[in-house]
Amino acid sequence: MATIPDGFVMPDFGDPAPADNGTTPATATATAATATSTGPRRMAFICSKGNLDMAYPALIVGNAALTEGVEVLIFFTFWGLDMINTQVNDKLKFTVSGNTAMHMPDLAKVRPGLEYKAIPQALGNLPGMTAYATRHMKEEMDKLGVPPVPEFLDLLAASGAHLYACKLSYDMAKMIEADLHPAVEGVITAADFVELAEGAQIVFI
Amino acid sequence: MNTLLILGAGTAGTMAANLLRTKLGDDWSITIVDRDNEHHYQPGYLFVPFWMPEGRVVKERDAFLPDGVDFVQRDIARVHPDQRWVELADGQRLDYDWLVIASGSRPRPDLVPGMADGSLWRDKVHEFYTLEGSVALRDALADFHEGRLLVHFADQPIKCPVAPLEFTFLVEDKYRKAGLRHDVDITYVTPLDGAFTKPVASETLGDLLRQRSIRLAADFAVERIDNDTQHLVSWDGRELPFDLLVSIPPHTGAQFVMDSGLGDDLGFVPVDKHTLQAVDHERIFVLGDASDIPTSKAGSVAHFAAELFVDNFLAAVAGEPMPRSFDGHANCFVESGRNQALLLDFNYDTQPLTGTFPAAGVGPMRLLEPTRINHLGKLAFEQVYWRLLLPGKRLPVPANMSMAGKNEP
Amino acid sequence: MPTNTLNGHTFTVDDEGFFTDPDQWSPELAADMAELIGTELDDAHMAPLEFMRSDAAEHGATPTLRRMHATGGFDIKELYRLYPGKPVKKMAWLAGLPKPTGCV
Repeated sequence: MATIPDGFVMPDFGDPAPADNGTTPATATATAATATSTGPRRMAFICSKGNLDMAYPALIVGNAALTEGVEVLIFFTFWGLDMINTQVNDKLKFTVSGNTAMHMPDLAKVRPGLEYKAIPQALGNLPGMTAYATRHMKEEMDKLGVPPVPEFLDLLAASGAHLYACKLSYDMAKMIEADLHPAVEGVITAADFVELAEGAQIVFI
Repeated sequence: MNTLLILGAGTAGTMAANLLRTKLGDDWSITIVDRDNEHHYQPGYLFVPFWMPEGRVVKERDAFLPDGVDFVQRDIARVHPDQRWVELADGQRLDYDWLVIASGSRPRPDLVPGMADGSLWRDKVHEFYTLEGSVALRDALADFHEGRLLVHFADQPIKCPVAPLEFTFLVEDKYRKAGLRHDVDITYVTPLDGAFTKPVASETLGDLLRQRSIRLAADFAVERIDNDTQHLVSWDGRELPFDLLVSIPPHTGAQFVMDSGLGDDLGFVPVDKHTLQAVDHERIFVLGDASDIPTSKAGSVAHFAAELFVDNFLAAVAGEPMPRSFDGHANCFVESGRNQALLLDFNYDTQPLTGTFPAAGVGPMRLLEPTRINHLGKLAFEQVYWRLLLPGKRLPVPANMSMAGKNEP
Repeated sequence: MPTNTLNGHTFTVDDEGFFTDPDQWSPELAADMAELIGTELDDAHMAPLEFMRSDAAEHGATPTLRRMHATGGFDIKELYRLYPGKPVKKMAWLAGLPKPTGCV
């Protein structure tokens, strides 16, 4: 490698060591053998929600982590299992109900000030409101170049993320193996995941 | 006195006997030959593993043959087309002036290594193209509660090419209803590059497979069945594990057709696909699955062809040019589970399309779409078969395909 | 604004070291820069850089990894192989473009 001249300003690209980009897929059986706390930085996400708005944080932050050379593991558990169920992961929904932070910038056009008013909870229960809110959110995400969930999973997998389904949730939901998103590496127990995630920063969603 | 000989008293042969007996005068004798007196309603094989009693599938052949047709119950050994006689297995000689070969096609589990000769045959390796096979499969399904289930067909041509797909949907339905679907992993394995031969139907049926959580293993050319490790093995090295395998073996024509040198390498008789007259023998017509026409081997094809065949046969006998041309019309109900079925209507040149059938815009059936009325149509076909189709009565469907009501892709 | 000099080429950069003016870039400079991070630029390495430059010139923003795949037709796994660790940053830097701001 050439030496960097004095005073040369360049971005931090981290360690020159090539990262393992999933060329050796970890499976439920090949558990903690690959886990290590001394290697490059690692992040482990636990996705436990199946709402559209709760699906994106792990995907977006996980993707950012991958492009920063951080190893990423995602464990899908409880309702988060819907994110990797191909029968439903293109149909995740966003609802106003129970979300008191739901206010819309566009309402300023109706009357300035309205954009900071939370949408009344009762409105959220009107028929069609969830479908409307979901469509609206999908449009906004699309404008920002954020892909739909199934495509996002493919992107993460191609970038080397390791995706796992939670065995307990999988059994409880009576999930059909054929419905697992192809990027999922295995159905593993919580204990398996804890081992795999050794040394990783845990993000629970 | 002219002699017409019909070989095979199945769907096509019985229809031909009924249609021709009314058209040919007293100066014609008609003889029909088959090895047994059991006429099977073959579409029923699909339902036997699920709910249809096995006895409902079988009736006596001679009950569906008209007066004035001699039924000879004997195995056929060989056809001698140049001297125009047929040799029976016991050596008896039957002369003919005109011959109709309607000997159908037969599944050949002996042609897949590890199938008929394997230790798992009729235990964990099954087919449902014979009554014996359907009954064995019914018993196997009753004991099958979890594991990997493969539904496979080896190669074209097979009878009713959609039946393996129908079985897949029905078995998926069975386990879904039993609450065991998550314990039974179902894969549809096909030598084709998709769920069906033609693009529009392949896409529709492929979507349906995905909706039902059924895996698709395409372009799978089977080499053998490994009985020891319980794998279905392809020529390109793929190995699919199974706990229960339903595999439809390749089909060939009847043995006597092969022995007589009348067939192609699979024992199907080459014919003019529009007139159904044998290419090399003008005194021989071939009806039903026994010919090499490039369309589905299905009862509906035999039925549509039989109507045209009668006119052409009478013209040929009279030494006149044959007036009608068969277009390969096929009409298939495809059971899709959940008490629904799809309807496919196509021919040599037109792939199955969406639309309405038989009346344009009205239906009541919808093409290429799972509906309940299509399912009822499929169930009703059993009675149509015995009461209308075999006796040669007209059905309210034209013999050649109509584009009316179909949506162009 | 800081200025970098490498093998006789001089170019202005932001505080992190990303280019502020894409026109100061040249393929030779990119090759020299690549050596600093232990990468030898061959045709496979250059193809995404060229796509990024033309796409950025057209749309005014450094393309995201997803856009590289969706519009440029690049295989994401392959990009990670070519530029291990931090592919997006490395490629943007070597292509003489600003630091990518897109999330995905």
